[in-house]
Amino acid sequence: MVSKQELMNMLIEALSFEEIAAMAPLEEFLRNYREIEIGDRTKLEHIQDEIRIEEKVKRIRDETVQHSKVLTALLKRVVGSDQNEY
Amino acid sequence: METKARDLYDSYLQKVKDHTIANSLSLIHDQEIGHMKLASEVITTIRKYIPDHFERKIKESLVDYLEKEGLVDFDDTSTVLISSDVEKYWKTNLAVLKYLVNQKKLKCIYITVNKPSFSLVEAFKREEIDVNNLYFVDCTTVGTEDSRKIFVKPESLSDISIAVSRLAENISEKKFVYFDAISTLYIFNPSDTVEKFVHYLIPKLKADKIGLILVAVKDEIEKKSLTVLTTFCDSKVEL
Repeated sequence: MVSKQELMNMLIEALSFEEIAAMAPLEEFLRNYREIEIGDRTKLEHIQDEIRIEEKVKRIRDETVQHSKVLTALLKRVVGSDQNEY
Repeated sequence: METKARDLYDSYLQKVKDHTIANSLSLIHDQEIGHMKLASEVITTIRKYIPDHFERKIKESLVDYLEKEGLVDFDDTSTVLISSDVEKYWKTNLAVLKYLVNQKKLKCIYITVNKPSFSLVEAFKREEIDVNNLYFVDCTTVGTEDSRKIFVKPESLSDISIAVSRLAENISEKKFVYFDAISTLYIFNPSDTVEKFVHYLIPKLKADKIGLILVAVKDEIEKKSLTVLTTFCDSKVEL
């Protein structure tokens, strides 16, 4: 069981993680990946059909964005609630 | 990174007993484990086919980016609202700070509502943002205060304004306030209270010759509130 304040701190920490620690390197990776010479990128995307790099990283990024939205919604709920223990 | 995420959510799940919250955290936790697998596959493939990829450093042209986004004329009485998708939000923060703090050499009073300032400083250092030009009003109140950092609860809007004034008093150079994110303030306060606060803050900062950038994450704010904030500001940048 955690107090309301403790849970708020957890959610803030998780939001910070998702929005900064996770999102920044993913965006940077995708940016760098798109700068790879087209020949190399084609090789990566087509020689090994089972490995779709951009698709996989985008999926991680999109789910990270979704985590951020879920955490924000939870934080809103906790802040607005009278419940003191979770 | 993903291991850290898994450990973070593991520790939460051991403590939180509320079923609804725990279920949501558990879903995120499970997805983080999937991310570890995907990331590992990606890294293995890249190392195999393009071994020198990780040596490459590609610099983004920030000036080009910001010229398009209307921040070139930003000065110490400007008030700009940046409305961003959550996907672009962090990139936007970095780009604006690199431009205004590193290139234009403005001092920045950074109001952070939901990210501890110590974690921001670490992230900014990695991105080569000059953290010596940053001062913080930290509404998470996590960590310790010092001469460049004041803690304020996000519900205490007048205290935020006082903290900005206290920090600004000790900065003689040109400066601006960066509000990250005004939309998060709506979580802790009623809409009309936030809007009255912004309505009070803008002329006060203009009189003190302090620029202002308000960042709003679109998913976190009602359309009506975004419109109200837009009318208060000199310009709006939509990303």
